[in-house]
Amino acid sequence: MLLTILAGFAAICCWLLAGSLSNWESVWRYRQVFLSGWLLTILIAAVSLVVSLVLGLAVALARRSTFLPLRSLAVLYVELIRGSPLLVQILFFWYVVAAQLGLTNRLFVGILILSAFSAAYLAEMIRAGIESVSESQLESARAIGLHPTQIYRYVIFPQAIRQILPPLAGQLASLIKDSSLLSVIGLSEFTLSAQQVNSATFSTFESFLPLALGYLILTLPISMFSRFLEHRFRYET
Amino acid sequence: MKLEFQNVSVAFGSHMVIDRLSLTLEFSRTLALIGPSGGGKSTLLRLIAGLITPTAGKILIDGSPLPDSESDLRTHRSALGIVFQAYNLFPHLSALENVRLPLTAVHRLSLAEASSRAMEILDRFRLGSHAHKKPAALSGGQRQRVAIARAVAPDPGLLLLDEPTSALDPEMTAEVLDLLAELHTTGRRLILATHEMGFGRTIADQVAFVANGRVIQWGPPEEIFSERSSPEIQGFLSRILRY
Repeated sequence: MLLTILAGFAAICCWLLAGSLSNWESVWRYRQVFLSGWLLTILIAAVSLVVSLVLGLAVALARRSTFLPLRSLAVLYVELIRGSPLLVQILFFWYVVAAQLGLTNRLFVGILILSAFSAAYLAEMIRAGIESVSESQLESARAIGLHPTQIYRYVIFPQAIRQILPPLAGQLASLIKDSSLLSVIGLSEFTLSAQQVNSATFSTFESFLPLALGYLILTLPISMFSRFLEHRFRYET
Repeated sequence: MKLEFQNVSVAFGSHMVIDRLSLTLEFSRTLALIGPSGGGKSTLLRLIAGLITPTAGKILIDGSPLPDSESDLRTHRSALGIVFQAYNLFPHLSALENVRLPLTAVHRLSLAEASSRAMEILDRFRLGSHAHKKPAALSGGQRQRVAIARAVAPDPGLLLLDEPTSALDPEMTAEVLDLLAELHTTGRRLILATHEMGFGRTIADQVAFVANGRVIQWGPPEEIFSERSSPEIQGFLSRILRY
């Protein structure tokens, strides 16, 4: 599967290379820019995953709360985020909200926006995981005298995690790809770095091919890992 | 042991499962609830267990009323052993961990103490060699025996069993009933909802026939399983004993 994709990709590249004058040397001089952009992308995705996991868990629990205002607030949050494009959220939060609040650190704001975006999706995954635990399990847990927090800790979370882990790995891949949109607010992650190399060298192909490969190197193993997890948890209940 | 129901009603949504039940049941060691499915046996057990609260009315066990607050009900539940029809065990925990969980989390035993108590009970139930298996690797009968071990481990004053054998084949049913008979002879008090008429008749000192959300008749088994019982019971018994 992976081999087919890579082979196809290589074929397209060869075909393109054959027809173009390559200008790898000038691009090679900017390898440091690529590398630092790539590393920043990994950092942004990793930190956003952790932050959005915490936020997503809070939103998922709020959606299950018996307190109606809290529940409505959580629903509103999820619907607002999932109902609007990430690019619009980035522009709005950077140029309107962050500007109003006087936040000028692009990295900080970028991670915040991406985390808030991803948290809405994670909240739904976590909620689905929690709700996959059957009613009879909850009754057994109550029957042995566990209190609600213990039920979450000993019964719901250990079972829900099997449901959540595969899509969670997928979400990390999404975060890596989605972080490219942060280039619009001038955060020099991987995509913006490639754009900068392109403007400096006028070598479009040689700037954007490494960009595409750089993302694939990260996302393909993650999606394979996600599929592996899915398989593993399917057969052991 | 005395169970009193004073004007107890239970409604699920608009559906009245139990409608103003008033009754006092006394038994010394074992009470068997028999009757058609959907008649209210499970609901009665869940009421006694404090897993559901009555929509109206009051329940007294040995003279003291069941509490209203969830935290007091939790204390009440932790002093009981409860076993359901099926899917009792937590699938992500081994047999040993299943038995140990209430001991450490609810009854505050140390891990070492809880482990040795759990292992001792599993051994007594001839499940020692399966202690480290997950429920998926156990047979239905073994699973149900582990569930009973978990319920018995904290040494509860009363064991409630909701049709513990109705999801099992005859051989596994015998295996579970043997264990219950053993618990009965060691003097443990049981309330049991069951379709196993022969078993109920042997071990129960009181039998209550539950149908349509009401207790139609109760008394010692000799009386319930005789020609002196009510026409509803006669009809029920003749239907289930026909084949």
